[in-house]
Amino acid sequence: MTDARARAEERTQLFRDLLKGKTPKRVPYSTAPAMEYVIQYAGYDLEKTLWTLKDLDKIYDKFCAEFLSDTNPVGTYRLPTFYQILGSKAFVMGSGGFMQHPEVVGLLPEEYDEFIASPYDCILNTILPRLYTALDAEPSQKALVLAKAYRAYLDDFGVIAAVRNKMHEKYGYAMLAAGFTIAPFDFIADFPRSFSGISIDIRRRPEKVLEACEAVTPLLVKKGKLPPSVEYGYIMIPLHMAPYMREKDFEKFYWPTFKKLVEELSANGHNCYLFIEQDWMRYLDYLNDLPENTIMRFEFGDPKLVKEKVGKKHIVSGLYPITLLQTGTKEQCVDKAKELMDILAPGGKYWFNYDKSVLTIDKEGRIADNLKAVTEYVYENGKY
Amino acid sequence: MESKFYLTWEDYKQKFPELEKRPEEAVAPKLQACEDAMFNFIVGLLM
Repeated sequence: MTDARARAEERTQLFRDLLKGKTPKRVPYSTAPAMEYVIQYAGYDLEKTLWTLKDLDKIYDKFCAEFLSDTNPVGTYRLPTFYQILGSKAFVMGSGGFMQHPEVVGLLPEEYDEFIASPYDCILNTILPRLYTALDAEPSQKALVLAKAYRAYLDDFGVIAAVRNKMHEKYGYAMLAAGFTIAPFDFIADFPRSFSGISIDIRRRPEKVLEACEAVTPLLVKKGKLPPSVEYGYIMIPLHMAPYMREKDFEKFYWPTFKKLVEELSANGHNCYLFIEQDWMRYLDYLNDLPENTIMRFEFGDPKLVKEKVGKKHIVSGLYPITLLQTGTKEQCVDKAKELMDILAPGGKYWFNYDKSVLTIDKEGRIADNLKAVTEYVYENGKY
Repeated sequence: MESKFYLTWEDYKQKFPELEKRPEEAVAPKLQACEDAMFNFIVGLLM
């Protein structure tokens, strides 16, 4: 067995144990940088590289050689070409090359009934042509646009997959399949109705919002499901709106269909991976009610409270503030890692990860230096 | 799923009766995989 294969096997075993709720040999670790940072770190032009993906293997090889991680760092899902072909208003590239999501409205309040009757048809007939302007065209043109966009999507993600495999072969990462879906209320809010639109709707047309969440849930379960043949993997669900809601609204509008989504996906044999954006400390008791071994990556919060309320039943991750990598000294960064590990690692069910991904490089190189120091600390001190 | 844009194998057979003569175990998963890939792409545009 090559070194890389042995490393991959060891790392995969960490996650096999973690996902089943067993204490692994050591704390599993994921590194922080997103593709945008990795491109800049290798000295390449961000915008040009996101369009062409040229030299992506060299770019990642530099990063992977310097930064340890148990999970494969290669990944993204916001690439500009297919969004451009579709005339996207939902995702646009900013002047610095970063993909951004402006506030958009794809569904008007009077169109809720159309959505409730058939969410998929409404998405294709009404929502997409508003948010992806090249689809607002006669049928033949629309079909061609969709075909070109899908071709671009497959081409680009084919390159990503090849680079991912190459890094896996060389550096030996854990083999984990990953799915992706969204909580029903967030789905309605994010693109169809917008943050401000849904906030009005829960007061003016609460029944329609509830019916829409129910109607779209089966689609979101389908979107998230991994094939039954996948033995180990997770379904990522980033959570958006709940911290901005009153608890009684959360309980009525957000929680029931979100819980149903997580329960149905978990019943299929895979762990859900919640990326818990913003501060969910007031909802910890709800989260604890989800199926055992749900992965909960927190952006903010009190680690002691998290461990106490959800850490016995679920897998906790996140909470390490990436801003500290940019502003702190090496000692402060390592102290933070020690503090989190002392609280969260005992008893297992802990995956070291950061509160979010690092996107932008700093001129001084402090992020990279601090990241290396934190990584070294976790690997040296994470053994059970 | 209630939709005129998402076809199951049963829908395909109704729409294209000549498929009845084809080896279902080969054709059905292939067509369904394409259907699901497009479903994931479309729904993914709102994520």
